[in-house]
Amino acid sequence: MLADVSTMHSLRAPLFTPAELTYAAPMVPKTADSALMLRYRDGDVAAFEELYARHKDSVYRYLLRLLQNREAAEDVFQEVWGKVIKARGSYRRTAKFTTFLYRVAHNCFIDYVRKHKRHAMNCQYSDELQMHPGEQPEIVTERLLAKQRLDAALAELPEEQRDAFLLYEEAGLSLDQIAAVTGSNREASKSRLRYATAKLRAAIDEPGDQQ
Amino acid sequence: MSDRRDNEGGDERVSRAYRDVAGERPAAHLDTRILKKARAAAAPRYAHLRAWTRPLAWAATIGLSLAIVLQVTEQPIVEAPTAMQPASDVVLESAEEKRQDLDITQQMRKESPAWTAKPERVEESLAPNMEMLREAENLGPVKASRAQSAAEPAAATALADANTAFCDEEARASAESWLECIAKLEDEQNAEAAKLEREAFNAVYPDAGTP
Repeated sequence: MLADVSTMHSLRAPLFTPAELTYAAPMVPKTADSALMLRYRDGDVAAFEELYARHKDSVYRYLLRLLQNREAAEDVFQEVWGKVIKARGSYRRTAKFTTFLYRVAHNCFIDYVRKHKRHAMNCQYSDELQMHPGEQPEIVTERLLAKQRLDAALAELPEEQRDAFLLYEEAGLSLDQIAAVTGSNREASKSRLRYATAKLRAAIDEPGDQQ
Repeated sequence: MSDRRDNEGGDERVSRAYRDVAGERPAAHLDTRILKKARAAAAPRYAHLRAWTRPLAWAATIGLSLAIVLQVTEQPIVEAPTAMQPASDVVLESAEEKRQDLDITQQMRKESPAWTAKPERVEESLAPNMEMLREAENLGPVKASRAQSAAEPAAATALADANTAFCDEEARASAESWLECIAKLEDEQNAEAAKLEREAFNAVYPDAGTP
């Protein structure tokens, strides 16, 4: 091994290829979300930027699929982060940051629904699909259809089941954390998640029935 | 991960299908707005005033110091009565000053015809001084008699001072200079003054004997 390294040095070859370096980067331990929030509380804006970059996409998708309306999701998304910013002074490391964040998001969603009675049910987000480079048009079309099926199945789910599924998939919360966020117990959360998963699985397996 | 899913009611296939289609992200203008808000919230209040704090503090310190120095230098030096000097002495000293002023005035009246032309005006102008002098002379014996029980020689001096103050304090500082002053008064044919000063001298220096 030493001989190999010395040979590499003598040939002036780089020790790591760019691909290796990009692979090595995620191995660096990440700062905990709570620590970032505490740093932001003490005035470190860069900590908030990192925290925001970590969670913005999943919070946005959570709200988008719950509300099923882009404008509403954007409004609530801003409100959620506004509340996080406002809560920085009183933030304590008592629970996992994601639990805190999604509890705020869940409460904002509930407030929005109460305020607007019934939000628009048309799925305005269902045409979006990220294109992978070099992907064939047939595959893209197939993915788009799968997305539409899944979105439709998600939209059909009762609100509590959809909430539990999204908290599980987007936020990566455990059953206990889902129960804490939604204000229910573990068994109820587990039941909701199980029903939601079963319905979505059926929608994926039998696409003809959903169309 | 799969263990977690099996235990908690998730499904790997559903998760993969969801991950494959869920790629929405918040719009860039939302990121900008939220990060701007976060920066504004983290910035300390009145930050623009912070740059002025130090110069203002220096200016205030220098200004106050100058004011104190000017105040101290402009104040007339007044000797405070010491523990050995009774309060009546201070009053008597003031009376002595007034008497000297009166003597000078009388002397000037004798020398200058303008003074004799309108003596009533001079008397009017000196009226407040005369009144203060009378008050001091009335006060002097009372104060001196109070102090007599505490310090007999000091009281004697005070009593003598109340009547005779023709020799100044410098002359009274020592027995020799005081006697010189008395002799000078005698030379000046001021027998009354010399007599009063001698009485005062004998009260202070009873053992000195008459020269």
